[in-house]
Amino acid sequence: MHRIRTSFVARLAAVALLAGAWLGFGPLQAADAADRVVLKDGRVFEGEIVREAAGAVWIKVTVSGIERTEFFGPADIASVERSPDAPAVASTEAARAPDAPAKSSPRTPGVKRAAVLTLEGMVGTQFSHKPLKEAIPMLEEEGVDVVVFKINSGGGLLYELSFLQDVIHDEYKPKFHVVAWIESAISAAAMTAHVIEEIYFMPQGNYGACTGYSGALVAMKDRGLEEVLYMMEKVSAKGQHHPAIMRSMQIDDPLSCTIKPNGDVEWYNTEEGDFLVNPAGRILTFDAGQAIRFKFAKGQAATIEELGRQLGYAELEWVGETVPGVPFPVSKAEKHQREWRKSMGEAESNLQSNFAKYQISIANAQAAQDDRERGAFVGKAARELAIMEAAFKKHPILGLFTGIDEQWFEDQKELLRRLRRR
Amino acid sequence: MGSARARGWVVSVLSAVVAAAAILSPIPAGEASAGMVQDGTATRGKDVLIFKDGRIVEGRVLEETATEIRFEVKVGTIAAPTVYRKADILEVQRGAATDAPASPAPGVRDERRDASPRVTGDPGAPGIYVMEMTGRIGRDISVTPIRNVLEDARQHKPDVLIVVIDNAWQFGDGRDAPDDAASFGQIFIAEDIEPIFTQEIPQKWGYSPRIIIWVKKAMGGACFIPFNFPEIYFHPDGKMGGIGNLIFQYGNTGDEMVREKLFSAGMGHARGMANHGGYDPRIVTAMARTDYVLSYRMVGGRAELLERLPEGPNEFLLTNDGTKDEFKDTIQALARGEGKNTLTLNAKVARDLGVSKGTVSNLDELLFELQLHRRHNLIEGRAKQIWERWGKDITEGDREIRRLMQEFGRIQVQGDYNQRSAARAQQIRTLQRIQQILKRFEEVASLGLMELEGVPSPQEIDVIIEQIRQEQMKDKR
Repeated sequence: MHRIRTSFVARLAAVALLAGAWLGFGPLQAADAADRVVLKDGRVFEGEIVREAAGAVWIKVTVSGIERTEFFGPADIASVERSPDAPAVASTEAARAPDAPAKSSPRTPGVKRAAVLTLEGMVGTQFSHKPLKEAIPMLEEEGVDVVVFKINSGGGLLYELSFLQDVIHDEYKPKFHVVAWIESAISAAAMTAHVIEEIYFMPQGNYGACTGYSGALVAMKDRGLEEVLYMMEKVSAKGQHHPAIMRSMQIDDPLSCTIKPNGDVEWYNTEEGDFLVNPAGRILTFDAGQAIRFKFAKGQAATIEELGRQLGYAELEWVGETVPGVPFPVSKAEKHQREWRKSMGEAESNLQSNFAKYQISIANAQAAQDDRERGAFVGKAARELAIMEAAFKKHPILGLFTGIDEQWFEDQKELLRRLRRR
Repeated sequence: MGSARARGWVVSVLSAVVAAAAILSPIPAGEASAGMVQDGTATRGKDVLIFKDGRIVEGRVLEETATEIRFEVKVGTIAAPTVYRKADILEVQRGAATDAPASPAPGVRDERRDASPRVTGDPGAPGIYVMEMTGRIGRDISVTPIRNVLEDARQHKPDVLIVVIDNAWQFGDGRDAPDDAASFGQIFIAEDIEPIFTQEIPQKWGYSPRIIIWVKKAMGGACFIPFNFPEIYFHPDGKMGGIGNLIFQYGNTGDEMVREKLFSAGMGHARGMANHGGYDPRIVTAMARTDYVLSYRMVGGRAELLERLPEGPNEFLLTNDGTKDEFKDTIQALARGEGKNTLTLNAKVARDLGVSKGTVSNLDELLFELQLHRRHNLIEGRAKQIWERWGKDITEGDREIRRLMQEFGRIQVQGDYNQRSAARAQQIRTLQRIQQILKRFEEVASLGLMELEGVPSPQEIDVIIEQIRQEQMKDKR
């Protein structure tokens, strides 16, 4: 685990270090720098040499508070300077792999702790209230004060919306400072984020297109539509967003606004405002530029460092472990979201083949002429059934898609018992 | 995208059979899976390969040539032979096993000595790495070859990364496609590619090189890639567009309001990319929506965009409303690439609009524009070889799948029990081989860009294999 501080001093240090890396001077260093690797291109890396082999060196350095292990081949290295009191470098056999997760430091008194939770995939399946709810005690255990929901989703099931909105509004907001960080929030993903007051965009962020539909692009209509419009009026109030904005994201009403001299923005579901944000007949999706200009979003941030600055904290510790390929520390709660999505993805992906294998096994068991053969097929069927049942128990929403419920599993178990007894 | 397989459908195949197949599949040099990266503990009797990118793979050297090492990688109880290029390997640490082959035979050049990064020019000057993205978007221009090239680039630690985009813009029969041919839906391919540059590079490299995009041809999905970067240059014949079909994607299906929702979502992504690179999102709107009107005039050397038709001689039309009969492009205009219903950027318009920072016909001119012509190191990386290898591998994958499908069709399960058992085993092996290829090229296959007519998906193969196994269980001697 490690910390990223966004204090003024740290920012300066980060800029200096990055400049050093770019311009070829100024070492990248660890807090307790001991060893130095000087490259042929003039760059210098200070830190802890954790492995050496065949003239190559793995050195652990810290850049902008992020600890990482750099690898340099012998052709890149001009010289290696070791701290006299540095422990002997572990041999290849004993050294830790360079990309193994690094642990973060314990809490610093007086400094707020933040965690990024990613909400990705289809709303209702991968993007679900269940793992979010389960993550709360994990966040509390890690002493998190600020929860950043980083959202990247093309939407999903209306069914899931109120569960998600309620978990965030009723359970997260009283405990944490809650922030939405938008990479892409389309449809149900935007309708989830809308319950959050503080919304920040990534530069490529987009947010909107919330029209409900089913089947072959058939729009929600009549009473069903009115109910969803009303639901989002209430959600807009909870998130302190003007209801006209979400309305233009849901149906093809126009949206315009006027920015008053004091900077406040007045919204209209007509074209009377100074700025036409969405013409009649269109559906609104904000990009970062519009969202910020019209003060729907509080700001724009490409990285957690930028986000930390935008949030206005003098210092902020980002909780979690460094994971290769992930541009922010992964907390226990975030790890839980990732595991949920992986498990859901596997369940969805394998469901059809599990079901097909189950049916093949049942058909063969029913046709088998002797007990031994039948037993073997029943065993195979039972295995597939157990896999499916475990997936359905963990992800009850699969029942919604398939119509399979607990009774179906009980019926199948009875069928297997009968086949065994034959 | 017209994919035969739904996006995501082939993403996760994790049954034991498939997992084993994936491990057994040949892994190209430099692509050893994470599962093969060990903790550095060299068990007595085992060999260890240390790669130039810092990865370590443990197992047993089976065979060694002047250029390659055939290596048995063990993961759990499963062993899989894999071929690595020596050029990617820093060191081979041999264990105590007596069957380890000897060093290269006398007279055979040990390529390890030549494996260090090579540069030309001034050694103290900024390092420049050039990668050229050619071929079809989604097939040749895909995440794996890009990651592989960037992994090669990472080892050279360039200061400047020049990305040349020159994608194939052709119909299926190989004829060149016109500007008004369009494929907005390929935006999602670009969305998979963009974070490799903007998120993975800083994370993996520990710094961000200056990224320059040089557009020769960026049409269809490739057109979205440059928008993510602030420094774009154009070739004099450069073109960027081919996304003008957004509002026709769904025909008359369903309700107009839902179609508008989908257009809006698509434009949200596209405008987001323009924002990302610092470009006016109205430009990408003009490129994508046929019903959008945009003109410009030059004010103080900069373009001022106007969401209306031109009103004077100093205003220039970019796009008119092509859904109205009076503005529909004529076939003559379309044939000449002069249509005005959707915008295709050429070098001049791109320069006028501030999308392009300059027009350059070759690398020297580009380096001049970048003020790097006097002092630079042009890094001789392996980008071209990596790119070509990927293209060849996919073509071979297509061919191999066809051959294996034919082979599967020829296997007759007949004869005595042993012959029937052997035939079924051969069927399973053949299917597993197809599955391996589909898995390896999943990113291309899932887009429908491999020749997979009549080829079952990996999940379907899983079921067929189970069926064959159960047939075998039913069979009697």
